[in-house]
Amino acid sequence: MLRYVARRLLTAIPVLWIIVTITFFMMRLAPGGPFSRERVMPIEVQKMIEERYHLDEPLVKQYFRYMGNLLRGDLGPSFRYKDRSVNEILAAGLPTTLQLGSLALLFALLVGIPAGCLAAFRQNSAVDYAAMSFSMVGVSVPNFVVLSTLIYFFAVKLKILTVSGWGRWDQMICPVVALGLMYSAYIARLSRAGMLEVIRQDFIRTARAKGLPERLVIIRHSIKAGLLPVVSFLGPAGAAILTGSLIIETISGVPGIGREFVNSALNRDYTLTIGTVILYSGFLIIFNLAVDIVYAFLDPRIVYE
Amino acid sequence: MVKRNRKANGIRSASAKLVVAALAIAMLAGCSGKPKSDDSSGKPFPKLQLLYNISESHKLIAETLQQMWKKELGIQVDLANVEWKTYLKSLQSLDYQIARAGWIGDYPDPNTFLDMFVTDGGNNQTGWSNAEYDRLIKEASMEGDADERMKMFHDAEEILMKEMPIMPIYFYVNKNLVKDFVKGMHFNMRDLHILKYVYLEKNGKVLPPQEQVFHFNLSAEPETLDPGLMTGSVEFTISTQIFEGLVQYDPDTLEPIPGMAESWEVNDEHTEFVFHLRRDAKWTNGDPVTAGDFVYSWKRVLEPETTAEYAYQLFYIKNAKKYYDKEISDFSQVGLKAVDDFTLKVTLDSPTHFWLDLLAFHTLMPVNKNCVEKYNDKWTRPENIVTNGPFKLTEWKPKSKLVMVKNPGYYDAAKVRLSKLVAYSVEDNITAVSMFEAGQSYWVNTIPLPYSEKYSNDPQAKKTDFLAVYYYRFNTTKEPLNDPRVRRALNLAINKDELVKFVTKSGEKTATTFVPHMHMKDYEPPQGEDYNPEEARRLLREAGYAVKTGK
Repeated sequence: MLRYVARRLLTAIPVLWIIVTITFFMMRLAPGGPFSRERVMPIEVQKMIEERYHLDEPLVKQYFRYMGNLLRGDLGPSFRYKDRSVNEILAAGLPTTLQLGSLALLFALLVGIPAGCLAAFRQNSAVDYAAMSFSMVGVSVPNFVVLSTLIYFFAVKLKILTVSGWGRWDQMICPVVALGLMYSAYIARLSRAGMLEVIRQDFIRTARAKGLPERLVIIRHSIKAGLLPVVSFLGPAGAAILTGSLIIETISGVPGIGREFVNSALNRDYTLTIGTVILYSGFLIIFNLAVDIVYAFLDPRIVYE
Repeated sequence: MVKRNRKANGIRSASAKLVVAALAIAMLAGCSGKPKSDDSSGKPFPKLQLLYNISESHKLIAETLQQMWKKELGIQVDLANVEWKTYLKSLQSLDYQIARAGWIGDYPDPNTFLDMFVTDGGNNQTGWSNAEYDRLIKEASMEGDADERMKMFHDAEEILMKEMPIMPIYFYVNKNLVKDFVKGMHFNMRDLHILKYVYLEKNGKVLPPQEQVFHFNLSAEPETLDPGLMTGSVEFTISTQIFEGLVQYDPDTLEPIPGMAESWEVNDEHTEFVFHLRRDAKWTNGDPVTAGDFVYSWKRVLEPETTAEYAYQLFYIKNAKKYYDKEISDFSQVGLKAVDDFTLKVTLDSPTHFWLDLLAFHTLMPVNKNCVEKYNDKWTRPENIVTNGPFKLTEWKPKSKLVMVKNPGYYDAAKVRLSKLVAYSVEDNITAVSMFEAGQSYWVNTIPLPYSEKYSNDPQAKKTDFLAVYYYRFNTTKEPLNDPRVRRALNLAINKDELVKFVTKSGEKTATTFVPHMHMKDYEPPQGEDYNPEEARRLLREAGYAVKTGK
């Protein structure tokens, strides 16, 4: 197991290297640069700025300079936010984005799993239909619509919650619910399907046949196996929630890094873009690995060599 | 007083008249020479492409023009929208046919609008070139006589409008939303807000100091708080509250009024300025603000290594550009001298009428030498920063908010009534209005399109004419737009009154000329051309195109 994890982590290094390299050159291919402005600056000023940020060097030299700094853990200065380095910007925003993401995921699990299980055990009942129609809506409505609606009713009209910001519960509810809602709907559907499949299996019939009380059948045998699809969904969902918080962060004024992910590319803030890409690729790699490990614990048939 | 050089004036105005006359003759010759052609003759007009950067309002305006051109001239125009940096790149490489644009003046003077279109000007971006225009703009920049200078700008703009490399649409209007209990907000042509004049009042009573907390939205995260490096209005909104230059703006008229300098003298040629600094001005670390601080700060902007994008605003000072270009290394040759701690002498290269206006600009605000040198690129952090304005920075949470409190050491602190400013950096302008409506912020500096109807007659909505113009650029290097008659025809076919009334809907003034002249009392704009589809069709035919209209 440990060897497996070590091997996976080692293979992540060339993957990250390829991602960084592709991002580096793709950003340079995009038209315009970090200092192209509506108000064109005098040529001598432009030259000095390019020199300062080494933008006047041949691209390959810039690439090796960047990779050299990267190996030392230095992501470079931000081209846009002149008072801060990329390391600093990411370090300041990361906890917020992680907090928003994990709360949203937690919300999705807390709502999705009970709803899905309930629907499965009361299949074709009113509860089932209600849960599934709710999840249909949750999957179809875009999160910014949910967020704008929540803000309008609870913050502007009723004034119970706060429109924007991050830190207090009354600021966090709207973005967390809006971000987590779609995933809670997916999770409800997945757990319902998973449970329905499991309760028809032979080992459940055996458990019932040997006289195990229904509650234990569900808790000890069904849930563990029935939630496997949810677990495998958690990897991509976790990554998607973290990377997908862009719109939510922008609308709710949450100071995370999701905003940076797109804005830095639009601003041609080369260093900040690569920094966020590295971070998000790291997330994806780690989430996928974590899912594989959890799988091994949940399903006795899976063994990693 | 400015000296008047009669002889030179006479020659210049005579030559200007000659130019106008020559132009008029050339125009007449161009018009009368050709016989009128009817609709069927002439080549078909090629399809055009109109470029704009992604935005709801640019899109609406572009669609309106598209329809008007189709209806009046039978011209097909495709719309293309691209993101901001791609748009800028297309403009600079002349990779477009027609493109939307906007320009905000740095100071209320025609120069900041007209010097864009000189040949090889970085902001020209139309490929247009006119020797007479270049000459007028250059001579105006050296002209000592104010009236004569304005006359030159008038003549230059007349050429610009005849040749029409750009097509003005309207003059911008600023839309602010302000709560009714906020008093002392001033609305001016540059949308500059000097918050030391603001205070909060409820039920006709001024609130006590502990409740004088002003929440507002900045609309973006400041890129930097270093005044020497700033380039945008978001940053300027902060620097205006925490720094103060030699002069400051009158909140209504934006005339320069005493700031760190309590008085100044100017020589007759407008080339030599002596500033007398006030003796009671202090930095937030207790040090007095001296003439040496200004020498240090301006020198810093002029060091190429500082990479100040707006360094060119100091190039008016004698030898400043040479110092920046490293042609000279001895700073004492630059026209900037601290005569003593409280006297600053500035020598300019040539008469610069708007020099005083520039002094309140962020690039020329002073920074504290000890602070900058001690903390280097971390000097703008709230724990390090040293400033000299009415407020001081106490908290800066990136992408979240900035908090400033009243600076008790400010020389005019007795008149500052707000005790705290909280500036949010919320980017989404709909959220910004929601915050305003929920009472979390008291001022928003824009009213987004979806709300324009709702706030059209609301007393909280404040509209003021902005020193800015919305216009379209033509790429004059390619067919068919290399023909001024075609460009003028496109302009004449647009009913700008209708556009402003039904599309932009904020009471914008239509523009038939380029310079927002209503902000410049000494400037007489040339006669612009109004909506005239008949004349537009005639010009197109004259240019050799068949005109088939939808009518």
